[in-house]
Amino acid sequence: MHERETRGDRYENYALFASLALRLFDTLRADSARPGSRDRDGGALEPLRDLLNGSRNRAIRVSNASEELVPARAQGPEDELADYDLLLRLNHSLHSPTEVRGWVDTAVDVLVRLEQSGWSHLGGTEAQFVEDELEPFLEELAQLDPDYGTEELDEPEPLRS
Amino acid sequence: MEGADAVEAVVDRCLSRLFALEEDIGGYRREFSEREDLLGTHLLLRALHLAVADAQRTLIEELRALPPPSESRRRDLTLRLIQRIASTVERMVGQRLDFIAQPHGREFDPIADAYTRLARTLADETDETEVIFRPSEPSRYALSSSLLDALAESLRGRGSRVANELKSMPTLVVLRYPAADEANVMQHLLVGHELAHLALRRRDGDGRTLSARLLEPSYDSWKRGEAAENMSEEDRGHVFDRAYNWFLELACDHLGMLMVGPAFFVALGEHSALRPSFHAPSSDEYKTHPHTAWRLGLLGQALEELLPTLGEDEGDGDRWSSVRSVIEASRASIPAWEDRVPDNERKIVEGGMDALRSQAHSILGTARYTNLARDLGLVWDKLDSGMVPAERVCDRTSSTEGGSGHWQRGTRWSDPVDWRSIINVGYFRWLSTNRTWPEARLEDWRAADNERRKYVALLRGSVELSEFQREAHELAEQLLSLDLRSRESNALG
Repeated sequence: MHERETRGDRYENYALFASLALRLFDTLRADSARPGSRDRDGGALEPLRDLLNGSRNRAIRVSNASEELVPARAQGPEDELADYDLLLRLNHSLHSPTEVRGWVDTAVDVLVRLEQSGWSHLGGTEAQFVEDELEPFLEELAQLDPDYGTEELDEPEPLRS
Repeated sequence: MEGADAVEAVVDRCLSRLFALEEDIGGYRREFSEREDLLGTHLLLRALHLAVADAQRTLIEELRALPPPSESRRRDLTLRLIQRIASTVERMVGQRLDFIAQPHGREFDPIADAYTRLARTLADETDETEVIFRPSEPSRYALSSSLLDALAESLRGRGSRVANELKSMPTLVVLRYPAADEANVMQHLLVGHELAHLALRRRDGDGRTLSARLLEPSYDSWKRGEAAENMSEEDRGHVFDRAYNWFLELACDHLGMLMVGPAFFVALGEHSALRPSFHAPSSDEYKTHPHTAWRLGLLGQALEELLPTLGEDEGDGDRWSSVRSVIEASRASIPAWEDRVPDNERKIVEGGMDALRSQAHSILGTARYTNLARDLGLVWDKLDSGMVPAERVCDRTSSTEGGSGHWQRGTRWSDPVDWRSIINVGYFRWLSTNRTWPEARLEDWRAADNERRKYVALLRGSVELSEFQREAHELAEQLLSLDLRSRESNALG
């Protein structure tokens, strides 16, 4: 795992956004949300999409793929690596850059379609993907234990006896 | 299923944690109320206060809208969310309060404002930047990410209006420096490296950082080559990570030296020579930072290009010879690095460094240091005479000498010396005249150390004086632009 930047803050936020997204999906399933609550909780899905896109960028970078990198809010490649590592750690079905790219493409597509529908409903194949794939990932994400790191002038010396 | 009392207890605990944060913020506000110089700290405290107040309001709103016990799943999710909001705010705010608990001291103060001015010119043009300097252990320099970005992101993600207020505030960063070296303005030239990180974090229209844009063409070119073709994706990832991390540090060394002057090279050498890794046989254990010998070796090469642009070939031959002799002595003590750096990473990084060198001047803009030739003789001679090298006297005699003095509006009798000139020239002069002390007798060692401290104190005081004069000139110009005299005569008329 990369130990630089304020990765801990990012992870703390990811855990918060995962909690909001879980409530949003539950609300959509029950179809009983009060006006406004869907938009409020739905705001958490945009930064979660950034996590997915950052992971995808990392996967493209190390593979021989010629796909374009997708703009994400990550500070740089070091954050994309942190996102990628996080995705692999929490989604046990993913093992390679190729698998990450495929899974992220589907997940982002589902989230975009949900957002474009104005959070009107959760049904069909989207509901299945959310239940089988996204929610287990988000449950893990919501339990993250963050850490903190900074950029330093030089590398910490290993302890020597 | 949780009863009403249990829910109330959970929320009470969360709210009391937020109230405790509020008290801590209030305590720091009172403690630093006299320190008007800590602008970044005061801005941060205001932002943290807003974030905590917003979290308190959100918790109460969530509690009011808590689903009934019959909707157990959603009720449970909401309670978890309430706890998560409290823990997120507690962690982020608490951590940032920890950063400001110990502000920089009196002895660092003369250079704090000077470095903050550099930071403002380096960061994104659309952004204002404030640096919070923090003395810390162990003995290393480090720059944090923006202190408010993650907090603002957190608020935005849960739909808070306060997010926009935080986004509109200046970028705040914490810069750690070794507490034990608080007074050592020569060593603090290394702050230049940390500030260079601000420049490399700038983003283009697509959101890509400058560092990524500089390195990616070189990496892509390497990725198409034979060495990368035969590598697994995992190994290729390791190569990229190290190359990217190493490029960041080497690029910051390069920009740092252009920004604060050639003595940066000597400061990094002195700082690094005390570390066990200085003579490490390879880079194998290094993930985030390149081998020290490589860093110094590349800087030494860059100096060969830099010194002529700073006026090495123009006048003041004796002083330049002294500067050159210090640099040569420093370069001679750098271990050979060529065999200690793996080929793949080296190839990628070298491509990135070529791109950086071609754009360095435009990246730094006015932050680049250019005054060494102008100030070298002046500062050196003043130090030789035991004078404070803080100002350049422009004219020692009146143009109407012998007659009544003619006052001309805006005429300056002296100019402040660039603070970087004071430290650079002072550093080179010290090393060129005091390099034999380790061979002295044992009882002289402590005396030599004391001499260096006194010398650094003279440089520190000189920087403070030149900064005072610079501020005085700025204030004078502001007052002149107000045209108080004509306003006064208008009022009298």
